[in-house]
Amino acid sequence: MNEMAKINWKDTRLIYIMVFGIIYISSLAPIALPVPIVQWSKDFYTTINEGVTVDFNDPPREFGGVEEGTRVFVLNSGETSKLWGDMSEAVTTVWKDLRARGANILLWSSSPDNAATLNKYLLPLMYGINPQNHPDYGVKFVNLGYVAGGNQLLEQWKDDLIAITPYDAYGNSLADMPMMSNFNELKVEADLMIGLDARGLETIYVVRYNTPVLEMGGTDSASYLALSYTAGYFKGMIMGQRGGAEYEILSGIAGKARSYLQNTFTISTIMVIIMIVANVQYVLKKKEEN
Amino acid sequence: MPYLNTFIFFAAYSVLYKNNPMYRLAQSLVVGVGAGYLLVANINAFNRGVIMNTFVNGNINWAMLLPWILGLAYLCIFIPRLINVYRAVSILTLTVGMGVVLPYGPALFWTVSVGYAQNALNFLSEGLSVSTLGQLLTAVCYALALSYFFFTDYAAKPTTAFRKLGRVVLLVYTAMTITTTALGKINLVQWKVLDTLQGVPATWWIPALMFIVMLIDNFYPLRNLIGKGSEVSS
Repeated sequence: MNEMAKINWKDTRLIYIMVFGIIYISSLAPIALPVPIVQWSKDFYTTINEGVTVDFNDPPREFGGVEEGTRVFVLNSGETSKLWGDMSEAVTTVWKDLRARGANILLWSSSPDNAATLNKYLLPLMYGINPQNHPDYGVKFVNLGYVAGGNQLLEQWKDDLIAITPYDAYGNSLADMPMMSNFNELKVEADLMIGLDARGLETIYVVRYNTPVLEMGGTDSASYLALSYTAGYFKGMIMGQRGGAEYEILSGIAGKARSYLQNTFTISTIMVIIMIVANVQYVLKKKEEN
Repeated sequence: MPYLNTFIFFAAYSVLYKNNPMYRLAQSLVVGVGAGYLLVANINAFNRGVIMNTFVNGNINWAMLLPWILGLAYLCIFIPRLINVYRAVSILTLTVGMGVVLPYGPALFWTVSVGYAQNALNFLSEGLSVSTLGQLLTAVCYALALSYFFFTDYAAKPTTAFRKLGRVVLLVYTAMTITTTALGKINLVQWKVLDTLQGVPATWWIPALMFIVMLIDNFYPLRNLIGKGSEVSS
């Protein structure tokens, strides 16, 4: 008891211990709360399921939703490596949905760490340890891997991808891959773009070529990516584990995001209770002093 | 490897408790391995992007001489007498890159502004709904927030009310950003904790062990077990 009396509750080390304690409690015994679906997640699913019209330029482009052979360009170009823990389940579920619908998926990573993140966590789950040996490879999926160049590269790829980048992540010739036979001039041959925390696509593709763009990011990306959604450039967004849970509900595809979200709810509930207790305690203490 | 993965992740976060040997080991490993990986990844990218393009089916692609020249010129940074060659290619690369990317900024600003302005009046054609009112509110907030930055000095007095409201909008935005950032960061740790519980093999015992060690350390500093000479500052 004497030892306990020595505890300094302002000690930052205790905050560390409390945070881990709370996260473990929420992982072992999550609270189930209803998940209201936000509009940008609904729009994301509607675009994939039913399609969308993009009319920044004449003539408007009619996108009829993802179906067999739809060419989907996934740009792993933001801070995916840092945000993966918050984006993992959403990206996994959307990828499963794209595959189930028969989409042709082209993946590009803008940095080595982004490429490494998907190489470790997503591609083995979808295509096995060696994705290049999967029967879908070259037919339904191609991985460009890390290609340096950022927005300048996208600017060049809009006319001729294979001329600029002739080889995939594993050194195979893109020209020899069936999927790439009509997936080269990105300004017209990419039916849909999905950015993983990607920025700058609005001016390169959306406004000039009416390319439909969807966006996936972490919870903390939402505040700035929302600017492009509310302006109409992103046709939908999925943000963080919550977005993943929403997509699971909308698509009916089973995943882990809903259980992850319940843990987040639990953490939030515990944190709110702690904050209320601490504030009540503070007020009572103030009253006693007065 | 999953064990190392879990150890590194939680050892990095253990600095929140205090600076400790596990954190320093994780830091050195991440920096060292990260630098090595970046080097190899970029060499691989150079191989696929330049070398394999230079020699195609036994023929030389002369257009690829330019990246070779630029690349070799960059290496002049190591030769003091040729430092100006390095400076010249650096400036060339930077200015060309900026020339391509710079117009995106004003273009994005313009297109976003036009989009907000057009959407603001959607309630006239589509009627009042949560969506159309939200679009109107977004446009108003956007204009107010911009007024905070744009109207200063000469135009400061007549725009005081707008700028004050703009400050409120920016404060609300900042609070929202901080909240979502905090939630996002908690989600990251949460995901890893669940990964240790549900992953194969389960590695939850590694952070649990760290947690117990730190709990013990909190009440009985473990540095007491070793001599004063190896004392670690907290």
